[in-house]
Amino acid sequence: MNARTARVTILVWLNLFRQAVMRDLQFRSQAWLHLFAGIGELIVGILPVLILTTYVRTDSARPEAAVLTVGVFAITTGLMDCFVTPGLRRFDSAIRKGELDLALVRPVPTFFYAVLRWIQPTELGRCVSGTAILVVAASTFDLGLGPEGVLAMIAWAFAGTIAYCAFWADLTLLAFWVRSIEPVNDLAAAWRGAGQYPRQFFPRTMQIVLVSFAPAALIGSFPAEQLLDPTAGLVLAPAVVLVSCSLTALIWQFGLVRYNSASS
Amino acid sequence: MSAHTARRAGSVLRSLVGQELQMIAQYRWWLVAMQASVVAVPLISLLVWRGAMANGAEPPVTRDYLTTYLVLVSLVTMLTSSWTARFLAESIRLGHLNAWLVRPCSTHLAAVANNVSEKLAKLATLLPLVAILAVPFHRDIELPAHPGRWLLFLWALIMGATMMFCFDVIVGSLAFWWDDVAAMDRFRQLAASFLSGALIPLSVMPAAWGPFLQVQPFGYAVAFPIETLLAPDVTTLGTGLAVQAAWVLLALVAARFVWVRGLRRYSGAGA
Repeated sequence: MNARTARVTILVWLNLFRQAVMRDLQFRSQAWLHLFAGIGELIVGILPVLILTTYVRTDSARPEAAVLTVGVFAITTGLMDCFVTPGLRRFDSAIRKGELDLALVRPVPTFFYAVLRWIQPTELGRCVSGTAILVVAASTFDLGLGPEGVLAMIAWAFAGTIAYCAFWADLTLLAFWVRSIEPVNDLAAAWRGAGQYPRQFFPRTMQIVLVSFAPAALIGSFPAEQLLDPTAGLVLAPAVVLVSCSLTALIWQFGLVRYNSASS
Repeated sequence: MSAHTARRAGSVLRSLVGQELQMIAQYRWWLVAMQASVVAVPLISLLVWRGAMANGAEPPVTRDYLTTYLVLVSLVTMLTSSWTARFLAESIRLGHLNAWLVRPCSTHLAAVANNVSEKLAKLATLLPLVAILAVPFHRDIELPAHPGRWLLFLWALIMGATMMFCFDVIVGSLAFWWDDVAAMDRFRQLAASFLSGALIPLSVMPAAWGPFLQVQPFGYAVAFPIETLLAPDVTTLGTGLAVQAAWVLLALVAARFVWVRGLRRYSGAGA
């Protein structure tokens, strides 16, 4: 991508974001309801984790780790559901109805226009709730977090969000090969829920899956662990982003070759 | 309803179910992906709760109870679920309802046919997935052998499914008054997913919530049907069966009331 295309892409994205905010301001009552529903989903997600934690009385499962996990998970999923997943959920339909043609002829990267142009600003309410949870947890448990831990958490939460979005996109891109694969979005959303539980509760094999192939732990429990105990090398975070994005780009290239434009 | 009307409705329903099944057969991958997502949540809960118990967690239920519950929950959730609200709301908003209002059978027959046929197709896909899920945990799964228990389970399932369908019709019918009911439907699904016991068994929730959990309706759609199989003594289920029947009756009356009141407001867009 050259500098001009990058500039145009950023300008288009800013306009899309402005358009999304204007839409939510037009339909205010719906926007408020969706905001509350998003926070409600967060609460419904938190409760099973907190209920489970109340029954664990060993040192290995620290309650502060569980609460921090929930806070990080709220922020990362809020970002995903604002900027990425609305487009991924529409991708199957775009392939089936030939709407991808419209993205192909635009002077911006096709993947960007096909997937990232649907934005739901109300989902950012979850990021605010997640940040509040982190702040309250830090002061309640008197964690005394250092800048190193905060930096490690932010870096891994960012890398994890991109990696999980890439994993979700890999599943969605199956639409190039399989007809009507739209429910894989529900599968990706359901699997994502594993990230809000402390990692040590899962069996060993599952823990490996959750930080590699289907990286749900990277959007919740793993960054929260880094906040408390920053041990994993930060140099690995860019590698995670690079590998996951490369795989998605590869699948996208193969899929695009197969696309035969349903509308033309 | 006369015998002739009932026979005609039955005949239309059979035809609609056949049509729906043919259509669903065209979307096989849709079914597989959908059922995989249905199994994912209980699978995560199962692994995490068993892991927590291995780490010293002491919930108020046994490991066998928890395992059997979480293996069965995806099946029961699917069989009692309903998804007609947004389609009903759309047909009201766009005026597609007109086509059904002039027909000599219930307006909701198509939704019932869609619900029944999709559940039949989903059952065929979900059963093998649940069986695969059950294999690694088979030593901890305890199911009753008495056929009476399974009949009771079937009855509780039908009642739960009827209640959820009525709730769905109520939410969909709100489109007679509101342009968009998506957020309301999202709230209903949110409440149902947590309070029905689809995420975690109601019996592991805090004891202080007990009185509320026993009277709220959603628990009678998922947790209670499973309880008919897992309760150690069948005589303890009497109260639950009575409360479930009361909720079903109330849901039927409320759905009928909202639907009739809404129809009076309907102006038939597109007619």
